[in-house]
This record gives sequence, C-alpha cells and structure tokens, in this order.
Amino acid sequence: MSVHNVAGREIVYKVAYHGPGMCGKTTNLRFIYNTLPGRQVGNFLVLDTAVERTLYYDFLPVVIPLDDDYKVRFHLYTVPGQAYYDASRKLVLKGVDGVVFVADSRGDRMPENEESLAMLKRDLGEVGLDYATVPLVMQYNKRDLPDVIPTEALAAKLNDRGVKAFGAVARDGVGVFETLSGIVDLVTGRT
Amino acid sequence: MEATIDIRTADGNVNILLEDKQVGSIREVLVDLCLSTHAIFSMLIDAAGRVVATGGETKDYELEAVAALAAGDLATSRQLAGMLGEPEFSLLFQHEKQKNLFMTAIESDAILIVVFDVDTTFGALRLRIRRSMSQLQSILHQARRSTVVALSSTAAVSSPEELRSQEVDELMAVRIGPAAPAAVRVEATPAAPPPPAAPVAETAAPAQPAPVPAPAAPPVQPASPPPAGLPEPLVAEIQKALAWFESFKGWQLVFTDEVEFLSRGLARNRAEEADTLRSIFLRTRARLTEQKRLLEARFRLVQSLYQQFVVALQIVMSGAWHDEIVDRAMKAAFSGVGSDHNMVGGGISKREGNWAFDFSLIGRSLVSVCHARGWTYHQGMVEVLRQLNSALSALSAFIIEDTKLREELTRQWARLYRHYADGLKTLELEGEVLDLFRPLVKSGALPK
Amino acid sequence: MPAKYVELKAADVELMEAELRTLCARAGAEAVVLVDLSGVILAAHRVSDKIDHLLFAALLSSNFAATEELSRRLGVTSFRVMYHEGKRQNLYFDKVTDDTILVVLFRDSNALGRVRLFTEKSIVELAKMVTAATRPAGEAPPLPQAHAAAAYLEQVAASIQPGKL
Repeated sequence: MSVHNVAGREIVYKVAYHGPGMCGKTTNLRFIYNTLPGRQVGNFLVLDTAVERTLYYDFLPVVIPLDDDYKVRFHLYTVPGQAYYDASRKLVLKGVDGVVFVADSRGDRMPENEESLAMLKRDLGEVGLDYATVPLVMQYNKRDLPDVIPTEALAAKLNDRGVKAFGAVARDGVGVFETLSGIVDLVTGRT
Repeated sequence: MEATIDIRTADGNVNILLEDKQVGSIREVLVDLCLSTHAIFSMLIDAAGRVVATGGETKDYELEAVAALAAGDLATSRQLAGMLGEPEFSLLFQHEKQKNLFMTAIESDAILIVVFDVDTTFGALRLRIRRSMSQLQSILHQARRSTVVALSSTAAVSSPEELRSQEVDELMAVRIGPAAPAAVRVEATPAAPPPPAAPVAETAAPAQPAPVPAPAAPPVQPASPPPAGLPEPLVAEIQKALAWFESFKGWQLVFTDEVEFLSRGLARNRAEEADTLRSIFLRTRARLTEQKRLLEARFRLVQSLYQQFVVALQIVMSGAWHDEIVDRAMKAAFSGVGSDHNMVGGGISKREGNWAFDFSLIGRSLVSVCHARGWTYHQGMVEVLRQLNSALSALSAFIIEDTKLREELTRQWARLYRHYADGLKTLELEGEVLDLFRPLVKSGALPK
Repeated sequence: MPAKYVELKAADVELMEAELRTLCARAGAEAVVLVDLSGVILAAHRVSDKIDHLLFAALLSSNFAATEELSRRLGVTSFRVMYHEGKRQNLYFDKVTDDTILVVLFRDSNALGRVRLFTEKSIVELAKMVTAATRPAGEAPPLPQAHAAAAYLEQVAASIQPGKL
C-alpha cells in the first residue's frame, strides 16, 4: 500500500519483481542501483544463499525528486524464484502497489515462466490483491541468448492481460529502465 | 541421510559436510531436547532453509515451508542485529492460547527451532535449551574442522557441470608470453577461443552477480620473483595453474605427474627449460579441458539415465501402490545406501508429487567427498553410480514380492539401458555400468 | 479487497509521534517505530540517524511477516507479538492493525513485562489513528505531476543506449 506523507512531501510505493528462478530479477535491481546517482538510491539489500539464489527478497529504495519539491519513492523488491521458497514469496507481495513480471525468454524455460505466473496470481490473491487489477508490466529478459522465442510467442502465453511488455537484456542494462519507467507510470498515474 | 550446511564466512563460501553419524548425533540431541522439555518438535535447518534433522512429532507440519520461512527470518534478523550492533538475536514468541516458538542460530549458519505447547513456561527451559545448543555447536564445529575446505572457490561447491567454470576458462584464455615458438602457437590456438556461448546466463560478464573467483585467488602461492630464470609471464601462469590444482585436488590426482613436473621446473627456474615447461603446461591445459568435458558429459548421461528411471519407476510403482508406500520405499532406499559418504541421499526429493533427482546437490556432495577422501572425480562418479544402483536394488528388493511389478521394472530398466548403451560406451562408463547390470543380464532381461 | 493507501497529514504524524514518545518514556525504551507491513515507516521516535531507516523498516516488517507466516504453518491462528532478544538490545513487536506493527527497542530484557504492558495500551490508540488515516486507493488525490517520475526514468533509459531492443 502506498504511503502519502503530505507533511513530508513524499509518497512511497512498493513494487515487486516477480518471475521464475534465475530469470534476472536481482539483475534488474542491481543495474538500477549501479546506474542511478547515489542520492537517488539507498542501500541495496540482498538476502541470498551461499550460491546466490534469492532466499527471501532483495530490497532497493529509489527516490525520484519531482519539480515542486515532492519526492516519489519506490521500494523495489524481488521475490525468490525457486519453488523451495514458495512460503516466503507471497510475503514479499504484501501491500504491493505494482508488479513487474520478469520472464526468461528461452523456449525451454516456458514451463517455469508459466508456473511462476500462476503462482503470482495465487499469491496476490492470498495477500488480498487481485491479479486482474494490480498495476503490472512484463519484461521478457535474456533477449540476447541464442535460443529465445519471439516476443509474440511469449506474449501469447504469458501476457493474458495485454499489459505493456519490454524486451530486455538485464545484465547489460537493456530494457531495465524502460521497464521501471513503465511500472512507475502505471503506479503513479493510477492515483 | 547426508546433508550439507551452507556457511558463509569472511573467506568466501564454505560447506560443512555432515556424515551419517553426525546427522545421527544431531538427531539424538533434538530428540533428547524434545523429551526433556516436552517440546512438540524441534529441528535444525541450514541458512538456505534446508532441513538437516528433526526430533519429536513433525508429521502434522509442512517442514519445508517452515524451514524456508525460518531461513528468511534468520536472514532478516541477522541484518537487524548487524544494524543495531548486536552479534545475534534469538527469537521467541509466545502465545497464551496456542504454541510457543523458540528460534536461534547455531555456529554461524544453522538454525535451531523448538516448538512448544502452550503449557510450557519458557523461562524454566532456557538452561536445558542452552545445553542442547552447545551440544549442537560442538558437533557442527567438529564437522567443519574435518571437512577439507576449498579456498576461495565457489566453483568447488558447484556441480561438475559448473566445473566448466570461470577459473579454468581463465586458465584457458591465458597468454603465455612473447616469442613463443611456432609449434607452441599452433597448440595454443584451439584453447584460445572464448567460452562457448552456452545457453546459460552465467558467462563472464562484469555486471554478473555470479562471483568472479580471480580476485580472490588463493593466497597460498608465494610470489617468488625468479632471479634470471624463466620468463615472468610463464611463471605467473604456472603458479596460477598450480594454485588451481591445489584447490581442486580431485583433478590434481589425475594430473599428478604434470603437476609435479611443473612445480619442480618452477623451483629449478632455469631459462633453458622454458620451452619444455611451456609445452607441458599447454598440453596439460588441453588435456584438462578434454577431461572436464568428458566428466561433464558422463555426469549428464548418468543424470538423464537415472532421472528417466526414477520417472519410470514412479509410474510403475504408483500404479500399484499408494503414494505413501512409494514415498517410504524411495526414502528408505536412498537414505540407506549404506556407506558413510552418501552422496545421492541428499539429492532425491519430492516436488509437486513427483520424485526427482536434484543433480546439483549430488554434484556438490561429489566434489566435497572427492576432496575429503582424496579421490579423483572419476572415482567419485563411479561411487555415485554404485550408490544409485545400490538404492535401486534396495527398491527392487522392496517390491520383489510383486512379480508383475518386478518384471515391469526390469523391462523399463533394460529399455533405458539399451537406449543409452552407445553413449555409455563412448564415455568409457560401459565397464562400470555393465558390472552393475550383471544381475539383469543373468536374468535374461538384457541381450548382452 | 481493493488496494489501500495511507495518508499522513502533519497532524496525523504529530499525534502518532506523541503516542510513541509517551510509550517510550513509560516503558523505558530506547526507541519506538510504527511500521507498515509493506515496509514503510509511518512514525518513529528516537531511531538513531546512524541506522538506515528505510532498510530498518523493510527488515522489521519482513522479519515479522516471516515469523507470522511460520507460526501460521505451525497452527497458530492469532499471531500478534514477537520478541527478539539480543545481548544488549531487544526488539519487541506487536501488531497494531492487520497491516501495521509497532516495534519497541529496549535495553533491559527484564523490562519486557513493562514494555508489553504499555505497548498494549498504546496499540489501542495507534490502531485508531492508523485506521483513520487509511483510505481505499480509489480516493487518493492525483499525484502532482503524475507522469514526471516515469518521464525521468525514460530519460535515464535513453541516456544509457539510444536504441531499444
């Protein structure tokens, strides 16, 4: 849920990056952290296992100052992709204002993409939100790999709501800010 | 059943390998704790959320979910403790009408959880719990000491598939130095091309989250500047290679002669030997790449073979039996492999109603065990095969009464074997696997 | 259930902080913080500036959420309070509303009883304040320059690389 601090002239929104394991959610946040100037990002928290699989969540606060001294903060989270951490995943979605669904563009990862999307729908329901209405954008990541399937095919299988989708190569930063801008637009424009 | 605990320390990532009897000891402590405190159950998990052992009555609870959540709990409470300048927090929650929970970290990255019924007063049990905590602490501490630590290499704890790792790729991409004779240049070329654009996102890229081991190169090698002997670049590369072999003892055993030759050559440090050393180095490098590919392919083959077999097995068994019998049989077979370095037990698990092998877990155990036992990776692989087979035999024994099932099982196994026979031959696994198949051959199910 | 938002006017924040101040004094605590379960601080009293407040809030709320869910798996249906004991400092958590928690940082672990007692009293007041400040998302006033943030990020994207994928 967003918090509008009228006196403090700032609004805080929560956005979660969701998707199957190793699809690039943490990579997105890392790129954002490395690119934005220091005063626009806070400390980047990564809670992962010894082999760098997200255990609970990653957290990155981003602040964008607007013209009339108003600040918009985005608290970006990633959820754990691995099935083992199912129980923790939905907790990260509590009070979320927007979701970025990151899909792995490789053909042989489609089952994982679909399963993750199904879990997103279920988890949102369990925290009192509705997949059909939550602000959502899609990212088709890893577009640089040789065995990716065309975005139309990905869209056909995953983008059942017909939301904005962005191709990306997160580890090179391609599409990362476009995606973030997309979800920010939805979340702020909404209110 | 063997378990590995992920521990993160200042030097990098270290695994603790627990042997069966250590897991047994842990279980005893937990059972004891439950009995003397009237706790409902207790469990020890690792920081990644995997269950190591339990005590007490756990059947009513989804242990994996509890473990995953507890790991998240620990991770966050650790961060909180750090922020507030505390070494550690231990968690307690009490609820007057329902259950009480105590949770605390043990020896860096294991978590003890104890669940009590409402009637227990926690204060009185504090001492008793503390005692269990220190018992667990000493078991884990000892286990850590007796595990061979692979310094500064997360690759050491990854599966053999990931052995085609950055370290060797760096080794492969090395430039030996100027004025290399034509013959050597030709040799170097096949090794020079960049790592294949594998469909895995983990190729070397600066922005990658995957750790780059190079900066954390083991500090073991003394940087002795050669007086007027071998050219510096060559020395540097050989030193790097030797350091690498030092941390991958499994491979060192395969290349004992070469490693010895290179280190003696380095010690003698005579300029006239440069060409010979260079050529041996390059040859070793080329052979190493080849061997690694071979091992990887073997591993993949074994993986496919057994994965398919597990699926076939499940179909066969679940047709005739209830799920819980199948579960029990699978668990019994794989945890009772009967050696004190069970590598496959930890790798079999049930996901969404189906049994499957997690070969990355088996791979990790494989690497750790090879280091601990001084085995080559090939020896380790053979042992994995033996263990898998022993488990499958145990399973067969389990269903031996049911003739129809047994026949069906044999048929499936034979079919799979035939399918993979050629592959097994090429990868020189045929001998070992054939030995394991002798009983089937005898019974006439296999043609050979 | 529609999404919600919390609107904190200056007066709301003052009231909350006053309540936290009172609690802090009565319970003999070091600091008190009111956190929303999506990870945002609503009000705080005496939380040191050396601590990263944003991180602190995210950790407190996620820590509580994990334990709450854990206890649910163990069959506890009305999880409310939680206690972290450290060597020198302790954290006491209590639920204010379904979406907010109160966290009290205090030194003397023997004071737990006192902390619990006064926290319970404060919770009642704070719950009223939080509920009063919570509205359904549909009622939120339009954000000044609604699309400016997105536009800024578009600029960042363009400055990284001219073409798109």
